[in-house]
Amino acid sequence: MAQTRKLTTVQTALRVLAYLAEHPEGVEAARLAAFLGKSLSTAYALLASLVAEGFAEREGSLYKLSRTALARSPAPLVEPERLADALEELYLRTRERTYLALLDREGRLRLSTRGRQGLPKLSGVEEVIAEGFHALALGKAVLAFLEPEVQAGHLQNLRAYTPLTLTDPLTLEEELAKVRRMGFAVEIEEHALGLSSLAAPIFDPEGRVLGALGVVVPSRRFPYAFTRLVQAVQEVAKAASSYHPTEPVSVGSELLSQPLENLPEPPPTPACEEKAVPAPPRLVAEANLRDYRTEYERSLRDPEGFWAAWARRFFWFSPWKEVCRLEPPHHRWFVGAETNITYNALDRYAEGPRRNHLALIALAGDGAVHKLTYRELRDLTSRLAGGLRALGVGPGDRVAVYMPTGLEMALTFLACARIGAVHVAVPAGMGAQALRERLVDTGARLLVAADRMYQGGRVLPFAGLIEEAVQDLDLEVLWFSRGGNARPLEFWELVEAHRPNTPPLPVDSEHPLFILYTSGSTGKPKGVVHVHGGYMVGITYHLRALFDLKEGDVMWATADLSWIVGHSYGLYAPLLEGLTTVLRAERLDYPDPGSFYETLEECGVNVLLTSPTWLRTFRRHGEEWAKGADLGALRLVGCVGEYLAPEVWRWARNHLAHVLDNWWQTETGGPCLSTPVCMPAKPGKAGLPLPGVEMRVVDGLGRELPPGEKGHLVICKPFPHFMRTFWNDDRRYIEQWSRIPGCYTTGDIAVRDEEGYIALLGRSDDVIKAGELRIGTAEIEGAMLAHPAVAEAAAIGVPDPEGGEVVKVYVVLKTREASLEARAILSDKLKSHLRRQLGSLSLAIEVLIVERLPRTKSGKIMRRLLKAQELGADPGDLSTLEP
Amino acid sequence: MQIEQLLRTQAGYLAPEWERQAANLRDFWAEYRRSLEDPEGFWGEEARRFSWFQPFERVLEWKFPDHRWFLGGRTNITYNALDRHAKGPGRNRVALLYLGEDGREQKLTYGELLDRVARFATALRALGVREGDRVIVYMPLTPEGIIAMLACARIGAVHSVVYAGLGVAALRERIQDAGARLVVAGDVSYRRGKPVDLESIVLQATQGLDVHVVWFNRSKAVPEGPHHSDFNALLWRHKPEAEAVPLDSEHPLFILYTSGSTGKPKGVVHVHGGYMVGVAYHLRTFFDVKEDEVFWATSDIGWIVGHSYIVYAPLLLGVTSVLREGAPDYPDPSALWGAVERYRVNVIFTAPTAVRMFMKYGPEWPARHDLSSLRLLAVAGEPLNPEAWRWAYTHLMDEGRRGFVVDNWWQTELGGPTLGTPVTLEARPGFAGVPLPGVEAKVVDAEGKEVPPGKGGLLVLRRPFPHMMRTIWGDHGRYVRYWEEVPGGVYAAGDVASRSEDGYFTVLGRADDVLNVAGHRIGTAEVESALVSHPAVAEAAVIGVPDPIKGERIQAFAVLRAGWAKTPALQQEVVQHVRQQLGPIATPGELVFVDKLPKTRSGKILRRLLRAQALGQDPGDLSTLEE
Repeated sequence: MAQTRKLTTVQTALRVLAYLAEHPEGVEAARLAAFLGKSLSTAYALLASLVAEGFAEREGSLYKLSRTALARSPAPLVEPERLADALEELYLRTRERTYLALLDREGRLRLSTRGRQGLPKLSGVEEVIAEGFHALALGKAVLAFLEPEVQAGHLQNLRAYTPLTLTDPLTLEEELAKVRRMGFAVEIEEHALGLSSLAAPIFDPEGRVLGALGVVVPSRRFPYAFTRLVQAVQEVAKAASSYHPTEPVSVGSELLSQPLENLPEPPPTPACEEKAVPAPPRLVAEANLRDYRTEYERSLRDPEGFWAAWARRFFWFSPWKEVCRLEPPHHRWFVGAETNITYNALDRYAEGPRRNHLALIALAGDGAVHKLTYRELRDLTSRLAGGLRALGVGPGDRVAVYMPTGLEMALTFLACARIGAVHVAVPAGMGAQALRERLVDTGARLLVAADRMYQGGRVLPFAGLIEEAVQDLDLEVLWFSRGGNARPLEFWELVEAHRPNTPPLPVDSEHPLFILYTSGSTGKPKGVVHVHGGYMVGITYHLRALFDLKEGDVMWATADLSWIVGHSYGLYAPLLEGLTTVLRAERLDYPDPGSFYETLEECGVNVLLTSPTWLRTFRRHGEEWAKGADLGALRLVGCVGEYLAPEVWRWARNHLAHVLDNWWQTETGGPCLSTPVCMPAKPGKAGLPLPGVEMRVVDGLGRELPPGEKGHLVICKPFPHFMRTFWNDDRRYIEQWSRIPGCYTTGDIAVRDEEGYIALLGRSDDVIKAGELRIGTAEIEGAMLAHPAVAEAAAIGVPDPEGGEVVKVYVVLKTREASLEARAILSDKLKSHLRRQLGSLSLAIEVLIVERLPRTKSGKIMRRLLKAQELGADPGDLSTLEP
Repeated sequence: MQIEQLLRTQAGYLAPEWERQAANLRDFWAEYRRSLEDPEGFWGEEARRFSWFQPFERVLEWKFPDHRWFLGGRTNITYNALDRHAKGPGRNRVALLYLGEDGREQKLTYGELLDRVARFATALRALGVREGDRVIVYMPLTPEGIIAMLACARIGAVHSVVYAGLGVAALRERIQDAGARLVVAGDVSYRRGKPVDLESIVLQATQGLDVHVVWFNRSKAVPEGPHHSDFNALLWRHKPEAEAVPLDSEHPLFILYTSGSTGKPKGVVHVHGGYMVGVAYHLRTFFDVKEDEVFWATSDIGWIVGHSYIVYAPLLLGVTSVLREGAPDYPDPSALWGAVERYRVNVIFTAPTAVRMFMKYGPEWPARHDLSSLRLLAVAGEPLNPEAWRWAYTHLMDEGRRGFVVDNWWQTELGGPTLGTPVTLEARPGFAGVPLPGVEAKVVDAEGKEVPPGKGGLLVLRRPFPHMMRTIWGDHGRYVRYWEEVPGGVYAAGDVASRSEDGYFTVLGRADDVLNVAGHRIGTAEVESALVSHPAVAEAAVIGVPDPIKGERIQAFAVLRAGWAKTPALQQEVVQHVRQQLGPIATPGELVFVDKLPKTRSGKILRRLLRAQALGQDPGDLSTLEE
């Protein structure tokens, strides 16, 4: 139904008009038929009726838009004294049912109507709803001209679309935008099969929208009456207004390439420079960090004092002799001290007044919910730690972990850390070869593995894959089996077999805690090494200062535990601070998008840390899913992983909570750039360098660039939670510090503004050189996402024969089904949209509409793979690709 | 050494030194004296530990026999039990820890519990429940049952929990007596691994009554209808909007029915202010619970112990309260001890019948588990015999090295412990203990004259305390009778007791025709009327005979109507009939068909004779026996 009903007569007529406007040279009927995907006779019939109505003209075999059709009315309308007169006037001029909608203080539309007796007959629609939805086109007309802030207040009462709309709203919106650009300040809505309406806004002397005037007609007459109706509605509404926002512009081909800002512009389009948005006043007033500038300066002036002060909140078995010892590029923190991250994360609380506080809420993929108090988590960790010792795992030994996010994985991490073993998480789902590579690289002594994973209603079996990966390797596998098929060495049996009496082993501050391989968006995976002391100190500082966690809070980091975000904010930092963390194994939108909101609601989540991918996904699913949920507890939404487009930022802020975009990497352990709640956020920008982190945007020689200039994002000095080295590959670590002299190269391209906010433009290998232009892929994607029809976008550069690059953008649309011809039109539109947004009209752009984008498991778009596909090259290590 | 041991035995037992040192109430006698010398100052101070929307102007108004506390004050017990903790750093502390027999657990933090309660309270309002309306809660021991209770209290409705083991007649009678229009009920409860059907009992009990039922369904999904809603669907449909309504201190909190000697159960009424202050005081001072501890009252929300010490007092203090559905010895006799080890329970409050049961199973079951967290075992409900006390002391408390065993005595009417052995005093097995702060207890004869130490008499209380009942629902005259039964303006507890020289009380049993079966009060009249409601039974009499585990068990005698044969099948049928009417706890353990019942000349059934016959004792004076 959706396919065939997509373009009804009215819409077809509109599309024809738009097409004619786009082709001032004239169009043949055959070409139009091909464009519409309809028969030649249909095209002729349409054109004939448009010509008959004076809307189009014929020159030989070519059809063109009629210029006279849109000329101003020769006799200017006598200004009606009252709006009621306008309604009457419109009726007299159209002889159709007319409506006047006036906005009241509460944002409701009050309707009055004039017409022949009775309501228009509605086929297939219940009588009862008839009155209400006449307001639709009227409502849209009003909405479009409300200030965005005011609009938000009215949105609950005015809805742009109804379930009754048969046409695809976005496609319709596209067509309307064109019509508006031609000077019709009209809105159109097809309520139901056979009924259409048309409306125009009315303004008061200050230019505020008062309401709208409109007309309702049976659709079959609509294309023919269109010109007449448009003129009547527009003129009467204009006469009724005491203010005229913009003079209608005469139609011309140059109009289409004009920037939208000059037009009576209904849908708000994002300007290039985003306005800064402060956090809600209560958040600012109660923020843990109230004076960012002072704190930041202090952290750089006296990093040792700064970090030592924070480190004193933890227990150290023996004190440090030196806060920091720098041997560039190597660095050591809390030198000489002994601690254990699990003592601070578990025992401190398990023996104190927080013993019965929840440490962990684990929502397993099979529907099981585990809630563990600090005391229980400590006991289970201690039991498992005893079990690992019994298996011969000792301090410094590597233990690989291949499990879905959940209680068992968390216990494995903590138990390893408790006895000084080093955990190496390998994301579940990664292939046998990649797993084997990591097992070999780390020389793991034990692999803790799940035999399966439940996701999206499917069972993903791992047993075969694991057996393949460990073949001929000298290591044991500790199984977490859920299929009823118990193996010789079982996770829970091992836990049960030991008493909770294995204490945390005091280890040196610099003792390795874990190795984590970075996702392969840059080639061969690297094993990033983090340590007990500095990591513990650094990540907790940012938990409090940036994510603003308070006592009694619940935090939910949606990232898989096997990613750095999961390590730092799904597990260690919340536990170290005695808070409650939520772990969820299942996809956030399974069984439906409401599931995400349910978890937020049921667990009473205060701070959410998620990725742009998920926010985009939920935006695409629509806010209806959020409607029933009570998100009163949710204060902040952190978002990390890739570029967060302003539209998505705003959507999340409107529907979830204040958003903290932040930038960091596996290598940095915790956030580096973000906007603490005491500072206004700039959507689209990652934010300011956080306390303790000195970052710059530099040129290839390490010279700092002035604001506004694009360059390499670098870290000037290590901080406690910065990685120590790459496992078995210290050369690569040193190299990372020497590519640009004196600093650590993040591999990202960024630009800084006057106030110090940094925007990420993409990976340095993601920069496209098109002609004179150096454009980050993120910039292109951001511009693309500003288009209402686009859900996701990925840009790559493809070499063109002239030696430059062509921008190729892969786009996923918001609406799932779109016919081929609709896609063709849309991709053309997107091209011109992108050119306008980037301010370069000559840019060579290709737009390809696809169903989905390849992503790494952490949600980053694998541009490398897109590029390889494009060029037929070897895509390299794809082990982190989402299945 | 031996002599010392003997002396110690005679002198009683002391809690370990560390436990006495760490006690919340170190100097019991100073506190006790103060509570009697200046009751208003004493209870006023306790009351000020809580949040009041409007502070009280006067602590006590005592117009015999009516007493009112914290006059002019406005509060809400759920604000103090939930909001106070959930809106602060205690938000993520576990409030309720539910355990199923199958090892299932469910935890609700203070934050979550408040959220659920506020949602259900909003839902109750949407169903038309208003301040002062009565709501019957007929639920298994689950967090949902507690949510229903708290939600009522939050909006000022009065909950009346009916133990989910009671039968059709008992439930119907309570619904009607309370005038409830809403029943929150479970479809099943689980015991010994099997579902126990509650649904049919509720359906029969509500037949023809204008009540809406909110079903907590666990055995099946039932679509909602005009007269019934689904508990969870209803809860999640509503937002947690309902705030705690400020209520007068004397606003009724709940009605809890207890058996009397006349057959008709009495609806004991407790109120928001005084009850809150009193039950929390005793959890802190008598049960000696500390802020970060896990407390487990093994009772059920259908009893006063459950109201006070599963639900209200633990939440008021912000500790973790354990509830376990099902039998404590299922799936095996160490089920309870396994849970103590796993959840590191610190204080247990249980019934003598449970202790005797564990005694029967033997010490090897608790010995399998690490009970190192357990430091106090409190016991109440019926007299705890010295053997059981010593067994618990030896095998559960490791000869007193691990902790202590304390007895206590109270009743539905009294809301919280009244006589008891505080941890700082020595325990005397067989003695419930001394009057607790606020309590002035005496043993008197029928004329109200105090009897000498060592002599049996009636247990009376000479003054009210905040958590003592206010009235009997719909029958204030019956409340007044409590205070007029014994001359001298005292409250007659209905129990027979005796007092030692140094003030320790031992409670011997009921003074009236009320049985105490496993700690549950059952009126003989109630059981008798259930028996005669069977078409075959013409006349019936019920007595209590001693039982090694339950304390007392019911033995019934029935005279059949003409035309009915004394068959075992009929015996079964009549017992089943009583079970259906009153529930399993009031079911006779034995039913004997007799040709006639011994009666006095005035026509009263001589239970004494039946009892003597059943026990093979001397029946005593039979002069009044009808020939």
